[in-house]
Amino acid sequence: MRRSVSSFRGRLTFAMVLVAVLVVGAVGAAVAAFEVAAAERRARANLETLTLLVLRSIEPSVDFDLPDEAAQRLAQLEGAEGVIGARLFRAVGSSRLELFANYSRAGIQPVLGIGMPVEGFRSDGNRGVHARSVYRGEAPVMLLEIEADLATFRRGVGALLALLGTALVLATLAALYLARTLQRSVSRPLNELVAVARRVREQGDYAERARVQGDDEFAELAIAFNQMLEAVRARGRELEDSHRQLEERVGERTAELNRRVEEVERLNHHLSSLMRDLQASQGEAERIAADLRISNTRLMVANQELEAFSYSVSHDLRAPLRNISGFIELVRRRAPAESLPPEVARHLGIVASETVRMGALIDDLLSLSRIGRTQMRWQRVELPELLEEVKAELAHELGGRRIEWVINPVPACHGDRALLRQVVANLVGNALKFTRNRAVACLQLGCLEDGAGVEYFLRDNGVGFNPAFADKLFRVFQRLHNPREFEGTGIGLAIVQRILARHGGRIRAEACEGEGACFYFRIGQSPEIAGNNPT
Amino acid sequence: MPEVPRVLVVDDDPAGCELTLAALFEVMPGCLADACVDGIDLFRTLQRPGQSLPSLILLDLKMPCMDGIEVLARLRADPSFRSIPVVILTSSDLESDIHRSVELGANAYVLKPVDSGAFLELMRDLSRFWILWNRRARC
Repeated sequence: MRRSVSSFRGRLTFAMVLVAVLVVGAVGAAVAAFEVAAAERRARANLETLTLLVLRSIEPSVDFDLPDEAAQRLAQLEGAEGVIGARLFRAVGSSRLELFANYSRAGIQPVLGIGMPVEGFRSDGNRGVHARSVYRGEAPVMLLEIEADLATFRRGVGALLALLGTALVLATLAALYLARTLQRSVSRPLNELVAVARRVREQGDYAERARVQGDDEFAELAIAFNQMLEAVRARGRELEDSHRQLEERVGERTAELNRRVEEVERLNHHLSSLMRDLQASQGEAERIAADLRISNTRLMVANQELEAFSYSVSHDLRAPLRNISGFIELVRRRAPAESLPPEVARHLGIVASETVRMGALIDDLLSLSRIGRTQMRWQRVELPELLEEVKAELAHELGGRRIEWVINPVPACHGDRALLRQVVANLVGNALKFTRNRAVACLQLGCLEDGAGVEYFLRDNGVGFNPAFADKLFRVFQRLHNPREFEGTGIGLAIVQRILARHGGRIRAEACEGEGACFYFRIGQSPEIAGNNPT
Repeated sequence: MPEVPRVLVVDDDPAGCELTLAALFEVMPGCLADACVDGIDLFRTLQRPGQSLPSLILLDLKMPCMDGIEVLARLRADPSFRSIPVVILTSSDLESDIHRSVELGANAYVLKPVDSGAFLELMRDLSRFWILWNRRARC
């Protein structure tokens, strides 16, 4: 442990010694000064008293002019301690003094009592001299001067100073001892605290505790120090905890981040492979779309060619048929039936009617092929109106038949009026044909509405058909009945289906054999309406 | 004595042509009727020297080499044949054919019916109308 003046112990010792020295010194100095002054005052008073006494006793010797007596009296000053010499003057005239008698201690030369005396006390520090006159009236008659050694009176002061010096030394020693004791009780706990603090600092062990002794301020300090250590330790623990938590969290976050990064990389990888797949399938899709476009174009061309072909075929078929029919007519005109053998006439009739049938077939084929070729004219169409028109057209063919028409109000539809009229005409024609054997034919036009739109229907009470063959109904040349029983080309319903398909609609049929048939059909929407309403 | 009506039938189908001629003779006994197998034959017939203009031409549309539309266009473009009534007698009901014929100045457009009785009726009506019209125009 380094010790120096700047250490607490040094400073304490220094302060205490200084205080002791100062106090004792100051008191000593004051006492000495007072004693010196008092000694001088005492010496002066003694000298003045002595001078007065000697003057009273010597006065008669002067009055009676006895200088020896005076000298004897002065010599009695031998016994007065400290007196060195005395001079007695007698006034001569008004202002002159003449020595009358004197005394001086053997071996000691007067210092002040030389020359002309001066009334009063004088001193040069070591010697003092007092002169006093005796007045009669206004004028002094005699003057006595006594010189004394002041050291005699100061002898007590020296002893006092010695006493003071002893006291000073004692006080210093006492101060040193006190300082040491005090230091012990003050600096030891402090030093202990310092040691504890150093240990704490050097070893970082905050579990270290200062010893608490007694219940003074140092104990309080130690307690406060310990509390501070505890607080620091707690803070340190908290700090460690939070640091550890922070590290754990950082670790967790880092792990999480790594996981995320891995996941992102995996996703990225996945994404890029998806992108590759997508690009590949996009390329594929584009190729397919291109192929599709090409085959679509080819299909359209083929379809157009087919329609043109069927048109020209039916057209070319019609010419010879017309010729056959014309020549048969010519034959019949030139050779009336009566002139021919009956068998020949019958055969001729069959040829004629077959010609008519073939004509009807060709006409139907032509109109079937025309459906795809004509331009659609979209407009609002009321089906009951079309039905009325068809009814009016057929009126002359239906003379005598009992027909019950039930026409329910149905929503208007959009389509090509001419084509839809053909639909209605074909369906009604069909229904009338197959109700031919009924006493009262019953035809009903109505509709059903569902989420997909309106489904119209035309129901009859005719002979119906076998539902097993319902799907064959709409194929070209498909017939479900014997042509001898019910004539027909087998194209009418195919035309109906083709027209509805061109409208984006469709048709189906329900029936039981012998219990009537019902044709349900939907008419699509015009392109602009379909565009506005995607349903 | 009234002028004998003369009808030219232009049709590449010989049977059809014969039938048309037969129908004409049936409805107008005593008329003069000639058949031309195509447009070239028709113009040859028309330009034969010493021939009077026909009272009526029955013109088919679908013919090889020169079709009916071209024949009609040439007839209408030629000042000497412009006034001859031309009736298109065809089995084509294509709108384009009908429009074109009317534009070029066909006097009638008739679809060949398959029903021979109806055909005879038609021939009768047509030839009567146009022959009468012709006669009046020449007076």
